[in-house]
Amino acid sequence: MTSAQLHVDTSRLSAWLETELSPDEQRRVEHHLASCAECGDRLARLQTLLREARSLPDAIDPPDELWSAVRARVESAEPRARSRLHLRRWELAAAAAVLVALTSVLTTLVVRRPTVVVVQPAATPVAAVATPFVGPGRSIDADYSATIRQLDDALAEHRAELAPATIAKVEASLRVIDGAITEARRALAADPANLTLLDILSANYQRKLELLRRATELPPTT
Amino acid sequence: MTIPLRSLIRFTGVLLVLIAPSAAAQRAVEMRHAVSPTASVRIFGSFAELRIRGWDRDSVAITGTVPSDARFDGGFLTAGDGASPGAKFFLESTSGTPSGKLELRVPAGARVWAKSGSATIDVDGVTGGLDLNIIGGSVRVVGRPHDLTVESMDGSVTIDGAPAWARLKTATGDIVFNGSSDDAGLTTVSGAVRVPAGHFERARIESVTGPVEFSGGLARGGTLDVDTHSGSIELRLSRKIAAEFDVATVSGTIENTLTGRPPAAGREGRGQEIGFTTGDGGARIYLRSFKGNIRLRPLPDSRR
Repeated sequence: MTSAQLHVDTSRLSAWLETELSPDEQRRVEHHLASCAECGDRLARLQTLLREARSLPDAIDPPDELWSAVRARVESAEPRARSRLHLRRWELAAAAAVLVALTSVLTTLVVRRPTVVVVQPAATPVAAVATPFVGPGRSIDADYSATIRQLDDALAEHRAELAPATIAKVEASLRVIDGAITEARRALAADPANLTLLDILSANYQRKLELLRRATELPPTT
Repeated sequence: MTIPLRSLIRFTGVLLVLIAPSAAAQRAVEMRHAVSPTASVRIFGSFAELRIRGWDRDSVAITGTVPSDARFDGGFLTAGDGASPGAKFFLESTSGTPSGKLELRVPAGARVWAKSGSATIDVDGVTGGLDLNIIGGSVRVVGRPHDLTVESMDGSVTIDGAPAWARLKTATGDIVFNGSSDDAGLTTVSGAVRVPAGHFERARIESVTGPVEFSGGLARGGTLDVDTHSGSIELRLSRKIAAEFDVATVSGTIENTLTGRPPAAGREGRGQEIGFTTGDGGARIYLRSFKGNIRLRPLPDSRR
């Protein structure tokens, strides 16, 4: 057995933090952490990441023009994070949200661009704010809902410039994603510690964000 | 049989009336200019068909036909005394309906950015970068672009080649990736994703309801991540693959005829999960679904 195999990977560290492992496993990881500086470092980084994610403000306001840059940075960062740390999707989501928030704050300071004025209600209601939610899923809801609301508003402003057929296509896909979000949220409400469900919920939110972002970037009259 | 002269004249007149507007409605477009080998070329607007070809000349040529009442603008950027670093073209039709057939020839190493509403985009021979964006229609890319981004709503996306880095995203359009990549990300809401062959260093496939089929190979140390909400996942892999498998579905089923090892019940008896290693590991395969069924199957021996 190599020394690398003795280390605790990040998903197990995450599970250990959430007390997800069996009692024996919890003890084994604890024992290993007591004597392994490398895993201790990784645990500290993970705790910092989660602490930063929890301390995020509820309202995250990414300027539209930053989406491409943010997406590029997140996507270029993701493969490295996955290959070295195997971060879970919701951990990556938290990191992405931190990145969005930091970029937004910096841009607001530098550019001081005016706030988007909402002229009509969002075309697609945000499923995440429909019912109160407890447990880790609540953090995911909070991370995404403000950004989704912003993009909903931007799309509402943009929709008059789009062809009706295009709007119909976008809305049909948003309904599919909203249905999936609702299903995952219900399942997570019944099983709040299920990390697979957290990943799935987070993935569905990311797809909604992505679709909304793309819809807001569609050229007029298409 | 004889045709009365008056009928012939009337028929010819009708024919001319029908043909003349369409013949007159089109005009030719042709622009050429020397550019740098890695020029950046952007084309935007309501073209219906766009062929992009990479060639071994340091010049850009755009040719084709557009409606005579359409506005076609374009130009080449200037940079001192050297070759142009890039070009921009824009087509706007008065009706708003996609029209016009264009062929864009660029240096093979160029970066090309194309955006249209509903269009057929066909690319071959570009080794630089491609960023293609449509709502409907289709995109087909052949060759080995260094990086490839395709975004579509209901347009289909087909790749026959080996982009080093690829990100393909659709809402309802199908994605077919017939090739290889160091880093591929395929995302759809409800389209089907098929990877019938190829070799991947790192592949990530995501869908909400769309089915996923993967029959490619993985590099040693490579990774394959698939997650879907309710789409089915079907992996067909070589029995010789050396990989760690981590597979779980919250409320779907898992069928494993790759190794025959049965899945276990998931958390609290719901769903199923299975984890195992084949060979000496090396690659990592991570599959997740909410309620989509997952199948792990062997490729026929002749394939690997």
